[in-house]
Amino acid sequence: MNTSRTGQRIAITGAALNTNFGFDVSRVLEALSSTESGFRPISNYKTTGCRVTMAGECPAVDTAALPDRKMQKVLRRKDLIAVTTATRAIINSNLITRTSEATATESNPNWVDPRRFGAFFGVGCTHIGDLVPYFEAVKASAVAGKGEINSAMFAELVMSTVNPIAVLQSLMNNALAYTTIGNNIRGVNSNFMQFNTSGLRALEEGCRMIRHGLADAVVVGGAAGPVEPFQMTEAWQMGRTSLRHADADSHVEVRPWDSERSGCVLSEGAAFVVLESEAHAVRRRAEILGWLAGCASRGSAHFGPVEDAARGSASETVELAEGELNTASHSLNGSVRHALSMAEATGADIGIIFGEGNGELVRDEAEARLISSVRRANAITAPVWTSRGKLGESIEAGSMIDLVLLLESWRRGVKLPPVSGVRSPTEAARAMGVAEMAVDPGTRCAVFVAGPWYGGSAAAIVAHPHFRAQ
Amino acid sequence: MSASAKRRVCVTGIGAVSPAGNDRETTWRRVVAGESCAMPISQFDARGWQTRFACEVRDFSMPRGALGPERDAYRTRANEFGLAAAHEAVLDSGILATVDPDRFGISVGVGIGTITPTQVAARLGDVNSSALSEDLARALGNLPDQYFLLRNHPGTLASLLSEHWNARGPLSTIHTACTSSGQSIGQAWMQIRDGDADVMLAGGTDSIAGELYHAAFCLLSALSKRNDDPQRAARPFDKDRDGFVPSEGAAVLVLEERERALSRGAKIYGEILSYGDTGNAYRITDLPDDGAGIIAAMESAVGAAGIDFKDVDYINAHGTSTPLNDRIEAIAIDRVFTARDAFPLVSSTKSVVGHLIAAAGALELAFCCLALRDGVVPPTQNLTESDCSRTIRFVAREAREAPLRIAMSNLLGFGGSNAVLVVRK
Repeated sequence: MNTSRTGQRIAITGAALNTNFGFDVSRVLEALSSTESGFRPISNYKTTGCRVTMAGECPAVDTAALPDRKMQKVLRRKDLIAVTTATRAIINSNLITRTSEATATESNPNWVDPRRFGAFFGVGCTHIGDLVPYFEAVKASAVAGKGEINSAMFAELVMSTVNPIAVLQSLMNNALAYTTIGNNIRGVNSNFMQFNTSGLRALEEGCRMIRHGLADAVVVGGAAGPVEPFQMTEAWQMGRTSLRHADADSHVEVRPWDSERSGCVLSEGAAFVVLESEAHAVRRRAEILGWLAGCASRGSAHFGPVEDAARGSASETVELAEGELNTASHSLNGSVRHALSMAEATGADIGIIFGEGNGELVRDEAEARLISSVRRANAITAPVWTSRGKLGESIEAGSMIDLVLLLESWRRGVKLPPVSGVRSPTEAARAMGVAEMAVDPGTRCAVFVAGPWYGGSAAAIVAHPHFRAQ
Repeated sequence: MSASAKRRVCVTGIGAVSPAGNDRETTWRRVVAGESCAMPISQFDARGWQTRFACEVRDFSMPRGALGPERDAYRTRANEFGLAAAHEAVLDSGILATVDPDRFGISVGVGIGTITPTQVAARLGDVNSSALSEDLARALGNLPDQYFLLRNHPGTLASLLSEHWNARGPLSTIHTACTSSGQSIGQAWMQIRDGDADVMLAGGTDSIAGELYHAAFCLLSALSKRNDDPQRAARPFDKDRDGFVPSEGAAVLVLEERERALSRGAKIYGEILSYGDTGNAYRITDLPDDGAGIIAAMESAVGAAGIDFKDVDYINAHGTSTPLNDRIEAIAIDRVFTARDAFPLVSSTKSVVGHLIAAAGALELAFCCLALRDGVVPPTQNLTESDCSRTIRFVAREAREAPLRIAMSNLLGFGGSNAVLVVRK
């Protein structure tokens, strides 16, 4: 197996996550096997009268990892989670970018030239939530019964009551910006916003930069903060969210690909890894957690098969148009095929597939059928796994969280538990090969797929453990 | 990012919607003529505002065929601009009948959105200010518009374009503030070079001319306050500059693998030679005094293009007309070019069209292509006396004809991302 089209290996030398079970990856891995629920009553805002009252919230943010404590005051929660997690991944890699940290820069093997250190993020936005600081001014300046505002009054109120920091807090590239500022990262960078594929897209571009010799190392990953009134409500309105947790049942569970599934639970989360060229990683004798062998993404040319099918109530019968499935299948298959080709891997090399099953009625059914098609097309027999039954749907971060969990299971040589919440898998899920038993990722490759559920973008990556490459 | 790989990338189609015109050529004519687009704001009653003018897109209507009626629910002002620009670019390129959908991708840079206070007010209903989050969540849950968030999601435009033009190749949405569409083009360029696609629709869209975002930039004191003379407000590199002029619009370019373009006899505006992408690692809104980030991006782009600094004939500067940006960018240009005895012509087209934020990079690269095509450098309007540099060859007030072969577009964004694109005739 090769590792890239240019023959340049991409090593993973640092990793970190934050989830509804915290930011200790060992603890998160253990929680997946426990009966403990990670979904609790929402504390980020008051939910009195709201239909959705449960979510997955990060119980703690490792503010000690903040490069600068002042950032705690200016960063929104989602960005705070992203910056701390990305920084922890850098710390985990032992890379040093600041001269003050390196007693002798030239001789310190862990030194990386800041201009050769990049950052690629897939961090979602709280678009409408960012406008909250203006709401008081909007309300006060609304012209009763006319559906409009008094602009002059609005301007006066905004200028006198809104803190400019609120504007800076709402910048959508804040997570990227503060991570690069805090860690002195001066190289290639970007920030993707392509729904659930954002994290994998960031990873794909980070790999590209290293392959082209434009960076020695990049920190890549995704973060999401959907536990705020707007996104929670919107998800409910679209019929995505489980109604089963509308009460205060703290034992609510998500049941991916299960016939009893009732929707997803949205979760905060972030996961980042440090990618490094083989030469750089070997030179400094870095601990290599795994290798990235292939990455690819494609569009389905369909705005969203699930969005169409889900229009209306979540309780309606699941119906998927064959044409919609074909376009989605095409993009997912294309991504996997391309990623496998880059990795010079075949279906026989694959030991596990990481899907996105999150308990949504239509989406899970579509995904099960699509992954079945991918497995057939590529002669893959590996089981399909997801952490979303326990960790919830953290959108841009979801696939990256699973990648960090896989790295930990490789490192510790432990199995991944059966997919949480699967007790009576659907026919399509069985055909797909849902992991009803514990999975040993072993020494084989892993494929991660993110489907075109919203926005029509699909992505895939192929990773393999360090010891396989020796 | 080098152009030395086998696959080369050309620009074969350009579409634009801007305050200077709702198509490419109208926009370009006005930019060359140096006619400022700044006018009193028409989208809302701006009396009493700190800044009461902007560059607005006027008399705009989406062209037929830019979006199917089944996706009407996803139309926003910014999305419409992007869809219209893409429509013009696709038709301009003549690509449609020739492209394999699997080899056709989308890469767009998008802005912070076009939500208006009226829309917010409509969703707030009877929300009690004293219990904001609680009432807000309840009020939102009772509203029928279930696509409000998806319509305003940054990723929606790319998805709509992918569907409408049946593009099944790579699909990306990028937001890095003012560098968004420069990065989207740079990454699309790399994807074609790497063989991930043969054709990419790449560009950006934005609109900050509504109250909410206008208010945000007022709060940051980033806007010009020259309310008595809006047309003289945007004056990049001039000693009397006092802030940028907010704007809106979109530009989309068709990027195509060169051999493919040649084989089908396509009109070629230029070849993208390289892309420089760096970070400042400094502050969110400020630039380091030494201009290190943008210097590194320009040096990287020139080096990767395999050209000499003296080969660059024209720089379309970021030139926002803010005191800090222009001073630092001029320092950077002097250090990169003047110090090497290279003296490209320099202008900032923001003096005419204002600052399109996420769409600025795409529109300004389009201007570079058109400058190469016509052999004319558009002027920096209102630049009478510069306090930024005495050595830079600014093209001020009037366009200048010149034999142009290589042009560069500079972008510097809030958050510290810098992007530089180099294009050759």
